[in-house]
Amino acid sequence: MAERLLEVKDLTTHFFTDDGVVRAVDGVSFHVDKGETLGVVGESGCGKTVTALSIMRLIPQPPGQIVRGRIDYNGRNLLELPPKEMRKIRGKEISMIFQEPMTSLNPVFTVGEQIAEALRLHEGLNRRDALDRAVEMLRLVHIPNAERRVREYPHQLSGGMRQRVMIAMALSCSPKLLIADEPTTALDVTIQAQILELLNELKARFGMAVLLITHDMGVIAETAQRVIVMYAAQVVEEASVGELFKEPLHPYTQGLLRSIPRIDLAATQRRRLQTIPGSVPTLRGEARPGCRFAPRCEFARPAHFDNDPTLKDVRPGHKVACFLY
Amino acid sequence: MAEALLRVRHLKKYFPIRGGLFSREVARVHAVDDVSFDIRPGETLGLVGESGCGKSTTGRTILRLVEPTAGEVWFEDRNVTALDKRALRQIRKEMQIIFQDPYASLNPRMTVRSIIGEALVIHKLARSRREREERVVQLLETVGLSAEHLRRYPHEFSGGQRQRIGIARALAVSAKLIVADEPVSALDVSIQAQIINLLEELQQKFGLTYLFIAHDLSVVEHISTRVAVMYLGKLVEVAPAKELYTNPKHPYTEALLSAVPIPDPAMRRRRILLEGDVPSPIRPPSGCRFHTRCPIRVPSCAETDQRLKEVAPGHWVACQVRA
Repeated sequence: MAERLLEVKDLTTHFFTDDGVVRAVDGVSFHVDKGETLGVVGESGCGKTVTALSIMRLIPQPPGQIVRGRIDYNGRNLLELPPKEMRKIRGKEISMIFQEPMTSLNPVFTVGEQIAEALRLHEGLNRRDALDRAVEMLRLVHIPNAERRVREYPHQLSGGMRQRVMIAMALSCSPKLLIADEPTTALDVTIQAQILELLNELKARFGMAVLLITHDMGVIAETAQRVIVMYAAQVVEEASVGELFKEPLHPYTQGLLRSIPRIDLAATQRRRLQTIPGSVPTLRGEARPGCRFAPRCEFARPAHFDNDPTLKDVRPGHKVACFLY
Repeated sequence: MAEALLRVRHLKKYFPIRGGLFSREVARVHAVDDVSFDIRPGETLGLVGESGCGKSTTGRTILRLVEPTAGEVWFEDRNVTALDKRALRQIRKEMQIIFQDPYASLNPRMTVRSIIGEALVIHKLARSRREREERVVQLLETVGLSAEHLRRYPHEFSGGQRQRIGIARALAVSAKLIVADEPVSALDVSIQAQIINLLEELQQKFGLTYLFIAHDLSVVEHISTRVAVMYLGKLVEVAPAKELYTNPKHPYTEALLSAVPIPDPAMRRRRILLEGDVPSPIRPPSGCRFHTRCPIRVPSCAETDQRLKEVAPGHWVACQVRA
């Protein structure tokens, strides 16, 4: 059995706004094993990013608050760590990369200084050594002319290059877990392919685990070993990648897979895309009972609107939160 | 073969970069550089390429939302590029555009009734207030909304619904050609499918012709009759959709297709990884613009400009190695 690296239990994060409570993450549980890539897939507003930020304890407080749950990392509950201890974890043990690298890089520092900062803080390197390591890291992420690039500012780099710098920063202290939040969404498809390839290469090299958040089923299929599907702040399905794509159980997962145009089926008969009727429910306001997908679900029965389905094992390693199983 | 509805000939758009004393022109962005193609009535031509390749500028230049630097655009028998302001307004009844971000293209201070009704007023398409109102409701119903939405403002709608409003506005003037500029890129997949299906239904119903601009190759494959691939301001390949996807000829098209992640973990493909980034359109490479990243380049690629050549009926490729 694989070794657990991270275990999230019943994580519940709310935002208390003037317009009411937003239940952004509502009782989410999952785990990440050492060295594996866990994909988190779902549409905008389903709570993927807030889950990641909760793990990093980067939820802005107020208005946000983790109201319930625990996040066990190497036997310690991250939610109970004092801020000073958490800082030692963040960037060293667990690091994160974001969708838009430009907003996460500081425009007034060179990329070298920014990579070096983490090394000086966490590894206690001096300025000189840290900058040397920064050059090494840039080489590792295949940035040409690393000696020159290390002295450049973020605006001098292309989008793909910036994402490489972000990755170099995140990996500079050899974390055990990398949280990648839509790392390729802002990039063109040929650059996306380069970055995904790089992530795979580095993951094998460092033996780290990756929590990959994306809305793109294709990216999941090609990079993750296991997947959790989120809908309206909850996990609705969890399975190995092979099983999820071959035999999706939750009607939402099924609908999602059927609604994507498939380039690989270009040679076959053109079909009409299947759609999921309606739109994603709002997470604001009073919690209502019932399966959250029921209003859009073709299999919904009256009882499904009154009770909450629980996420349960239907076969080894395959969990689903649906009354049909 | 049917007469083309739209003919684009040697279209160019260079954006000046000004600087220095007296704001002299110091350089030019070669956004669209000698692009020619036809769109036939009732078909969907997909225009794909990565960001900055000039696909959106092409769409906007056709409608003269951006003035072309050179070249001609013919809509039926009229030369769009030579029309005066008044005639241009007339022709815009027949050529419409829908944008990627419906929120940015809908006036936040206008209700849906006035957003859609405005087009009817400008083009004098309704004789009375009542007639206008009826027409707006009819349009809303056509795109899957209803009369109850009339008094609402854009911010009260979801992304998918806003795109529906944008489509209704384009339909208000009974357009023949619709330039759809990344119409589903900002939408979630389940909503994306709804809008794609709606566009297909409307095409059937009203005999619309689309120029469908997008960076998502899967979406373009699904909706298009023919596809044109653009790289750094030039077309590199044009072919019927199925042909392009099953039998790509240009090395850039090949790389682009192989880079699309396939939602099927059982499938393992050989991926062509391109080196480096897209060069700057300010100083595009000489010769074939793709030669700096091309896996099959030969020395002369850096010197000779490549023109589209027909390699099979309707299949055009600009590559001296492959065609």
